[in-house]
Amino acid sequence: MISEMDLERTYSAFERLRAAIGTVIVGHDAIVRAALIALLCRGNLILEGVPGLGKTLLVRAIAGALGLRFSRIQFTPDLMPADIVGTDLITEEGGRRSFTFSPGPVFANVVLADEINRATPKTQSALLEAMEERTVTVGTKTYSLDEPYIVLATQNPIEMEGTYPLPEAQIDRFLLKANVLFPTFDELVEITTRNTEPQPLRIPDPVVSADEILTARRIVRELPIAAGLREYVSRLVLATHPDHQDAPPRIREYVEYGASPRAAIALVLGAKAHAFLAGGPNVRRSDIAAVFRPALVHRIVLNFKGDAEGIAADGLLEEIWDRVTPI
Amino acid sequence: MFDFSRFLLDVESRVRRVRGLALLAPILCVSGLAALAYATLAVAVFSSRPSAPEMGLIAGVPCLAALVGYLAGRARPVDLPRALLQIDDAVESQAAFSSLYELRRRGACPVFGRRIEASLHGTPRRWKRGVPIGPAIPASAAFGLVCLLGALAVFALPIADAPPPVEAAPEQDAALRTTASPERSVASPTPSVVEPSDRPSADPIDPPGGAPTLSDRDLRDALADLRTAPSDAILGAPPSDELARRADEQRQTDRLLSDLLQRIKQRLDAAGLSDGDRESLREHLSRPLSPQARAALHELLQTDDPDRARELIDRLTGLLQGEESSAERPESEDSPGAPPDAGTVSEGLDPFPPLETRPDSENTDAPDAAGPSDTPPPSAFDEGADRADGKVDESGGQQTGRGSLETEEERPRAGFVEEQAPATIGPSGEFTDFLTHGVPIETATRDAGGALPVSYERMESILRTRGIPTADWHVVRDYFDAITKGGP
Repeated sequence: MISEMDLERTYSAFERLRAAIGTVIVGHDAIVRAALIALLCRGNLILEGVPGLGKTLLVRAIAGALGLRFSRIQFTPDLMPADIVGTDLITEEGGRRSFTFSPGPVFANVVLADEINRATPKTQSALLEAMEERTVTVGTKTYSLDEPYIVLATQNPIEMEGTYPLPEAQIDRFLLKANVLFPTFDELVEITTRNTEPQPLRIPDPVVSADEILTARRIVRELPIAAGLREYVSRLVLATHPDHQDAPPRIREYVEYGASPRAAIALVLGAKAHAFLAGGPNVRRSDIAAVFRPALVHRIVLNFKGDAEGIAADGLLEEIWDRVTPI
Repeated sequence: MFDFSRFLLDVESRVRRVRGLALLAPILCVSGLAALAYATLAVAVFSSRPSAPEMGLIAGVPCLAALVGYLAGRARPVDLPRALLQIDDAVESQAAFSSLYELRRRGACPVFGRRIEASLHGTPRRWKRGVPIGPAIPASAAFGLVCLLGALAVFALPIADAPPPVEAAPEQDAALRTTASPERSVASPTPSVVEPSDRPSADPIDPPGGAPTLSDRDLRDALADLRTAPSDAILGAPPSDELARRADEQRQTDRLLSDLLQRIKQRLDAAGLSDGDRESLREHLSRPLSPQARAALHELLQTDDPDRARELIDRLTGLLQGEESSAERPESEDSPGAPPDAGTVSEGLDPFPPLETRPDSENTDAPDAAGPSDTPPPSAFDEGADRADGKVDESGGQQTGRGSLETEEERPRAGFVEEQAPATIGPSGEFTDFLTHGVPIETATRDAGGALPVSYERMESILRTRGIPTADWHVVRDYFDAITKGGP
């Protein structure tokens, strides 16, 4: 049972976390919030943006502030699954040879999968088990990953040549997808100032313990959401399906597959986490609105016509949001 | 302190009430409308007026249906989470009520419950906006009530306004069921005349056997009763003064036109009508005239042929004299020699001429401007001579006589066609029936409601013949509407 003290302590811990990240990252509030929501919901986050926007720095800052073990995997076309999950090595000890498992970079708390779409699908799929099950199977042996665990993947939207778009099964395992936007003028000035001073940027010290993160996860799950809002979320997700009666005409025209049930879970959990971060005692419609796009945008599969006409999933989601009402 | 349990009870009660009303209103609307339609149909088309228990039923059934609907609406299960979400939306409480309900339902984590209650700062006063009684509910309920009251009013108004027909009905029925007494026969000789030419011998009013059937006598007695009944009691406001004034006006107009026509005829030469004559005649077109006279006058104005003009003048003069004589008849009925009951009938209002005698066959060459059946000549209904003659049938009100009932002056104008009918042998000897063209007596029997069927076409014929001003025909029509309850 969550006590009032737990609640206060966790609220203040995450306030500190956001402040610590803010000392390194300029702007990108939405990205930081999305990362924390993914962390609180035991999910993963995919970041999409052009190079040089500070994605890696953001992930490192989060990991540092959380006091968690951080690892970075640069995905390339020749990257092999064993390079990610690890491999059994033959070791000789006392004249006897044996296989010893050498864990890969996936064994960390915060994993940055940089440019994940540059690796082959076989390598990409090596992350599937880790992302969803929090386990890694090598040979016949399964290894558990430490909690809290989060995969933060990035992909470059403009260099599509020689890339392998993530399969639907894998991209569905990302709780949220966030677009890393170019900083504003003031943010850019601040970035250049911070990065050109004599004192180099310093990754923040841990301000939140793993226990506090796990407590926060429990609080998020306990946070009440009205039954009507849960139904609302279900209607929103169903409206992304082109063959559903509530689907807007453009969804019927341009969408091949709608969002999966995992999207509804992500929406409810994300809204709860958003409400927690906002300090609210319950989920409101505004919380659902905040996570509606990040939770669904990567789960809508456009059809050929949608792709050919360059339809953006964001526009379709806006149409659904305007059309479907809670009551 | 916010008492959420009590708040939930209030919300549930209101939701039930609104649901009940939401079902009550359309039911009341539809049933009220149905009651109004029924009332309108019953009164306007079927001329039936319900009794007090029936009226109670008409008012009670919609109310009962609405009550049942209300109770059914209340009994339906309440979707409380949805109602709370509506309230949240209405008072902008950020889903607090519905979340609090969810917490209570799960019985988990009171920490959030306390925080939510604290955020509410007590029950919002305007929470009822979340469970609104939409404008359609009171509107449709009010409409239904108005329809219901309208239905009752439709039923109630005719009953209040038309007591004579309702009250007279039993008397009429009684009179109709009894065989006409000799006194009634003397006082009001029943018309025994019908159209002979298009009436087969099996006509119920003149059966082949000659003796009138019981239904014939009933009909005649009823008509006689209606004739002798005070017109005020049937028609409401007595229009006799106004009617007499208009009749005088028309009579004077007819005389002036008749004199003018005679003068024109005397000075008519080969050139036909002069311009001055035409102008003088045109002035008469704006005055009240019968349709036949007006048509003849039009034709006269348009013709240039002197012979045709003479012919038309003669015809027009005949028509005017006929109207004049018929218009003077009511005055003669008021004379001391008239029967006592004749005075009770309004002047010019008597649509049922008494016994008409049968015209002689040699008078078939008499003027018959309007055809044999539609518009018989006016003097055909002159009852003064009949009554003066005093010959009545004491056995059944069947007036008898052969030719002697009319004066020789009247016969040529009557245009009657005599037709031999089988003699009737009654208790007082042999009688001969006389059949006359164009007498507006319907021979059909009464309908189930006791209303007397009347042919308005024939009544129109009579009214023209009698010279009743056309503007006053509605009085006669109202009279028959009253006695036939608006039916044919």
